[in-house]
Amino acid sequence: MGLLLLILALGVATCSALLDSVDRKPSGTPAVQRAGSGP
Amino acid sequence: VVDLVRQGRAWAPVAKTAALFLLPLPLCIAALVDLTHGNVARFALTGGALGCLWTAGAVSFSALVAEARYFLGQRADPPRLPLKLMSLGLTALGAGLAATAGGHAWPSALLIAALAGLGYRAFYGRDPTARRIAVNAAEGVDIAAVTAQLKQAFGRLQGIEQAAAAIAVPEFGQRLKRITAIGHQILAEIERDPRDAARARKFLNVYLDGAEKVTVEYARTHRQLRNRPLENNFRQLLVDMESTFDAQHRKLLEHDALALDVEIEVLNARLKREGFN
Repeated sequence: MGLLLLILALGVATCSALLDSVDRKPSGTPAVQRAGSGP
Repeated sequence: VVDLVRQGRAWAPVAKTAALFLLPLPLCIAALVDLTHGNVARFALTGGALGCLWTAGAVSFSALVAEARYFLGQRADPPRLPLKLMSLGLTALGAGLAATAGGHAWPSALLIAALAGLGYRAFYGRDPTARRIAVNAAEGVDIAAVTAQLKQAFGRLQGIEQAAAAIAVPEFGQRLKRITAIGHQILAEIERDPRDAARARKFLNVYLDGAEKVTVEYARTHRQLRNRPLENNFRQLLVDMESTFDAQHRKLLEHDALALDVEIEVLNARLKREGFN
């Protein structure tokens, strides 16, 4: 149970940080819109 | 073999720290990407989160090593600093920073930090608290020596309690719980009147050690095979153990040292016959 919670919390936090870093342009401009996420 | 099992059981939790080194690995890549992109502000978040989580892993490692040594009686006291609590804080902070780097709003980042803290507590447990041993002064008694003896004896009772938790037969668990409860009363009695340490020297130096070895050995063999004669033998041994502990306590109160030593000799002989001692 404890390990599952830890995996959930750290998994969500670290993976979203990784995705956000990869999506950003080198200039530091906001993240590129992913397909289907725009209006 | 008994010592190996005991040591294995004490050291196994140390391996759990691997989680705090492996789970943040995506942050390594994120931090590298942020560095190569020149995003210093973001690198502060991802790098900070990585630093917090790996530091939490290192602090947890030293906490669990110290805890294993404490449970094995290799150190007299648990760590003075609440290492696990510090590590919990670092884990929550690291998770919060990583969530913020991931674009989560602060309420969501706070929730993730709280979940990480909760997970840490459930997975690694609390810091062990040292039992305060306060031996009353008595003329002609070496208080430091009695305190050391009591620390060792409390460690042995703890060893019996740990082994009892691994025994699946509820009846044996209950008997062992009663036995350790009486053991605690005996030690409290010695704490109150340290002159009792001399009267109970065989209990402290020989019998308690034998009782721990018997219980750990049974917990080990019981996992491997269910053997009716072995169970009956162990049951009888526990009955004898409980009555001796009880007699020990009563006779300590009565200061009847001679009869106490005789009873311990009888039980010690029985332990030897059973091949446990």
